[in-house]
Amino acid sequence: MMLQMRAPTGPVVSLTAEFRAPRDKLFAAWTTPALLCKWFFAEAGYRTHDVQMDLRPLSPYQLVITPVEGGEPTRIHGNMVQVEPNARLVYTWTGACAGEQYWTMVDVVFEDNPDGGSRIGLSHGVFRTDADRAMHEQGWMACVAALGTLVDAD
Amino acid sequence: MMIDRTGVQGPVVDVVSRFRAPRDKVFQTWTDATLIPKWFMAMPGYLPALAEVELAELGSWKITVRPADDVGHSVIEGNFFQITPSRELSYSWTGNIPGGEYYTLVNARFEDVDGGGSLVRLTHGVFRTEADQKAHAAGWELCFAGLANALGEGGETP
Repeated sequence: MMLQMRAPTGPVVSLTAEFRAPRDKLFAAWTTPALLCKWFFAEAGYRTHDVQMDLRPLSPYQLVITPVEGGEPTRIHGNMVQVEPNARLVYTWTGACAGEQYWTMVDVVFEDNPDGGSRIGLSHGVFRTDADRAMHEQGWMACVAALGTLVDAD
Repeated sequence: MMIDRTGVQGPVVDVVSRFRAPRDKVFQTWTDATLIPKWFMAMPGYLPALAEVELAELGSWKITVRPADDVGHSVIEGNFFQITPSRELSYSWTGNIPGGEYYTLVNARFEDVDGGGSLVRLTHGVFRTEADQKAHAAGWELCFAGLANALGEGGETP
């Protein structure tokens, strides 16, 4: 047996975002299919549809993303792992959106912001390549920006 | 609204281990509930672990680690999300072990090596702190040594 312990860090998406909206509104936007379609890949020339969401642990979920100009749809899917309403969501994630298809885990924490409003902390990984990581980060940045536009609009 | 990117690298365990045994044998040793106690935290000071494995998509697994002085058992558990026999496993991991109190994901790939033997590529994460990463890296190092013993390859040097 030959063992190689590699670097103690690896490619992950890690971001925080602050919102004026309270965290229950953010949690609802994250978990209600009709609302999810309004921010998930909503502003990047894509359409998100056929959303299935069931918040019971181990229940499957899916999102289908189709380019507005036409093209092959991408199905992202996985299973709920941990659901704490208005506080935390952990779910697995796979889809043909990485160089190769493999499983990763998304962990989102929803918190009150001491100065009012709320904040999320999102972690997603472990990715196998920096390119996969960068692509998912780009996606999340656009999605979270659209989420802000949705929940902070009055 | 304000978005802040907090890092491009996070705490993860990333291990590559090579065995003389073929990958189907390594996979079986990894997943068979009767074989897991032979390698998972199999070391002086511990009683053999208790393992329950339902090797099916969304099936559950649970390993109880038992220190010999019986100061308290640790239970680690989760569910399988991908099972490609003798090739790949993805499963969730949580337990009452230091740094393991929240959910992480284990991915293990079993590959052939040119000229014989096999390779396991393992990633585990994303951990929330460097300390949690260290604790798990140390645990996996011990488990891989145990796996080599269980496969009859203990004490071999590269």
